[in-house]
Amino acid sequence: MVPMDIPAGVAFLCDAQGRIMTIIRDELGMGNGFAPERFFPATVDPVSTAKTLSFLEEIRTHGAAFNWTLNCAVGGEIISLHFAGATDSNGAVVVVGARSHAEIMQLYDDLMQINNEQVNALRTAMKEVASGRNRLNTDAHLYDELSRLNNELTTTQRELARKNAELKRLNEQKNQFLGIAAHDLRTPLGAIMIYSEFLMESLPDRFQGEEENFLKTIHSSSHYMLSLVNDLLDIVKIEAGTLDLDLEPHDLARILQRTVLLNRVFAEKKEIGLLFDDSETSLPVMMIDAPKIEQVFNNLIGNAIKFSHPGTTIRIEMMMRKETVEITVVDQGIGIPAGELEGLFLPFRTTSTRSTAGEKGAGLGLAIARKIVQRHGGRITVESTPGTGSTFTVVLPIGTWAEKR
Amino acid sequence: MNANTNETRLLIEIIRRNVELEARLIDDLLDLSRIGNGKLQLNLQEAD
Repeated sequence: MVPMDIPAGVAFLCDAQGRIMTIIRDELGMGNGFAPERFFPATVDPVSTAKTLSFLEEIRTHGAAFNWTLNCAVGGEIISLHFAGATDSNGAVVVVGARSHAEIMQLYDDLMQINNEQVNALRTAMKEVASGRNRLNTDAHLYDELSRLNNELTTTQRELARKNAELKRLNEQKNQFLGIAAHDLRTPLGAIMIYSEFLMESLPDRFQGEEENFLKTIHSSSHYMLSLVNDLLDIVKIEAGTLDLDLEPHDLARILQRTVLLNRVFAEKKEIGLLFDDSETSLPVMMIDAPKIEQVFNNLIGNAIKFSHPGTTIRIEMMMRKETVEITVVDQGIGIPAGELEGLFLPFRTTSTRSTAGEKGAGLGLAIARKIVQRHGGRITVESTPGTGSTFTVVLPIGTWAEKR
Repeated sequence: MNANTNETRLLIEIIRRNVELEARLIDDLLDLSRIGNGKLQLNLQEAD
């Protein structure tokens, strides 16, 4: 009945669960109870049962499956057979198997002569992949490659987590070291500052002319260095999350007045006007950390002076909003290029702009200022046009104290 | 007047000591960062 040049194979119909309905052909002599009404996964070698279930699952989900190798009992021995299968619109499944994939293709050609819906489905599905026999092999390769990549990914993820923990530890160590170093650096500076100050104030007749200037330089240099070291300590505290606020009721206008007054000395040296508009009188008492808020405005006004030309004016304005108070520091200075605005509040970030009188900075002030404002529940923003000037805006909530009262 | 001069000398001496201490701390820090970067150079000379 079967022509001799047709390769030995097996073809059968089953339902979606693998229950055999009709055996179309079986030249191999499938053993192990291969017969209608039997459950196909139960007729393969037990080591392949799970794989057979996956094979059927793939047919159910994708409509077809190709080039699966399943161990089957044939003529009393266990051999590897290649299988392909496809489903039709009724959910019935046609499965073909042979000793090699090439033989399945031939078998399939033969099956072409049987015209029923299941075989048509298999034919259509096979045509879809006919663009390359390669692809049938590639599927297996792809699977191997995917699982290899997946393994690699898992390993990389584990490695990444380990590296992350290590980095976190190193960063903590760095902060700790920075803290210790800054503390050590501060001690001699304090002594230099205090004694040079004492020499200048208590013995003014001792030092004149050049000597007096030496002393002044010693004092101002140590003062500058101390502020750098203090900034460093602040950054360490911010990174370690231990920048604590000492909140007390304060009049923000008074703090601003004091800060403006302190900075007027420096502004006048550069012939820069410093205007504080204190016409806003409805400001309630606020819960703030006065020295830290002073530090913020000291920094903003100080920066404005650093980057302004003589003859210009810096305006400090205070406006009440519904639930906030808005303080702006507006300068007519050299401005900041748009591309550098984003990182402006990050530590150690300095801009490409040059201060107008060669003043220096470590790039920590704004990072500290932002953190202090944020810890008060506020925010700090900047707008700038190169050549025209910059406007820094600090918004602080006023609710805290009023509510407590 | 003499007491003043002595006091001044003492104060300046304290300032000088602290400047030296500060400079040494900073030198140590610079050495440490050079070691960290692997750029510590030795200036080897013959010595007994």
